[in-house]
Amino acid sequence: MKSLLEYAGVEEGRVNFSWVSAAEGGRFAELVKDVTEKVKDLGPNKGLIEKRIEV
Amino acid sequence: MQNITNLVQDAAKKLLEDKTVDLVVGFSGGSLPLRSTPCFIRTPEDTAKLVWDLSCENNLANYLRKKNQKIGVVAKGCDTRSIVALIKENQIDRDKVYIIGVPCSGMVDRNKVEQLLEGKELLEITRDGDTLALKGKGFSKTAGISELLHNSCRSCGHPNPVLFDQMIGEPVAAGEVDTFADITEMEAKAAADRRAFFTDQFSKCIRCYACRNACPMCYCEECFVDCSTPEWIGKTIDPQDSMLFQIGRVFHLAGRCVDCGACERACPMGINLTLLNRKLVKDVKDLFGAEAGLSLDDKAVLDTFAPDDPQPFLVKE
Repeated sequence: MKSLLEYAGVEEGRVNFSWVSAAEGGRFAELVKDVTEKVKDLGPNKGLIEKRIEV
Repeated sequence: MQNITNLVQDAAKKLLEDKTVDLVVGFSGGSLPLRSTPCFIRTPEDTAKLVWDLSCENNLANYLRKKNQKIGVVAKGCDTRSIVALIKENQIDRDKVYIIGVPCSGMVDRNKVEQLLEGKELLEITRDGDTLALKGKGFSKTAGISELLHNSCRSCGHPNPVLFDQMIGEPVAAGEVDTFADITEMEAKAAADRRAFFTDQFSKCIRCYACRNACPMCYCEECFVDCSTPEWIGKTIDPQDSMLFQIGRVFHLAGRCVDCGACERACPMGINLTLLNRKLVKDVKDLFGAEAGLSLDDKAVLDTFAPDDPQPFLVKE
């Protein structure tokens, strides 16, 4: 999925996956913090494609 | 080709006469050259309609799902791979299909012929070895068959039927192992370029869903694109909606797509769907070493789990 979306033009790093067990609260918090920072650096999502329909 | 046509007709006739099957699905000639169309034969007399030529491009596996009759089918390499995949998904009962396998050296792309003839109407086509003589009103041209084949046929690694009850003609030499050069080239481009390319392609989409309907593996009774409550994706022809539809479609075919190219051939707008489809075919092959529809014995690749499955998608910590 990540590979396909990035192939189709979504910026690298916007799609993130990880395994976290329900018992790993600390790790979950860390991950969310990291990912949030990463995505903030990327800026607003431009969407899959920029052009909207021309009427 | 004429020879194979006769053999197909004889095989179908025999099957219907013996009552081995109730119905034979094959191709009949169109009113113009390169316009062969799927046809359904129920009586031995009608088998004379069957043909085998360079435009038997539809994937006939599409007509075999959930049928109560016993069906004979004239199938190329890619058709048989789809049939294998559908048998594994319990959509086709192996005992109810009789596969007349025909080795296939590729089908001719009508659009390429049209481009070659600059839009002039083709009225007659004759084959001489590896070249085709194309004739119309006041012109005639010759071209090598290999130049006119569908892209999916050019990269085909399994031209011979993988499963059959009866094989017609001699097996053809298998093409080189598919290297996915087109996908590697696309992957090497910058993300912005890829995005621009797909934007351009998918702004052509009119959401007719011909790609979905032509695909033998797209058989859900209720497709995610038809759903209105909840509305999973937008239904407009906004390129963003079309793009999401295509990504969803391709994703649903992960590990199931046999890369027959039926979707792209069905597309009335000439969208390059292969580049999206084959990306996942390549990923599945690279990650799991699997290709869909080659054997009845192995499990579908996404049905299996191993603790050491590769997980390159995980976020780096």
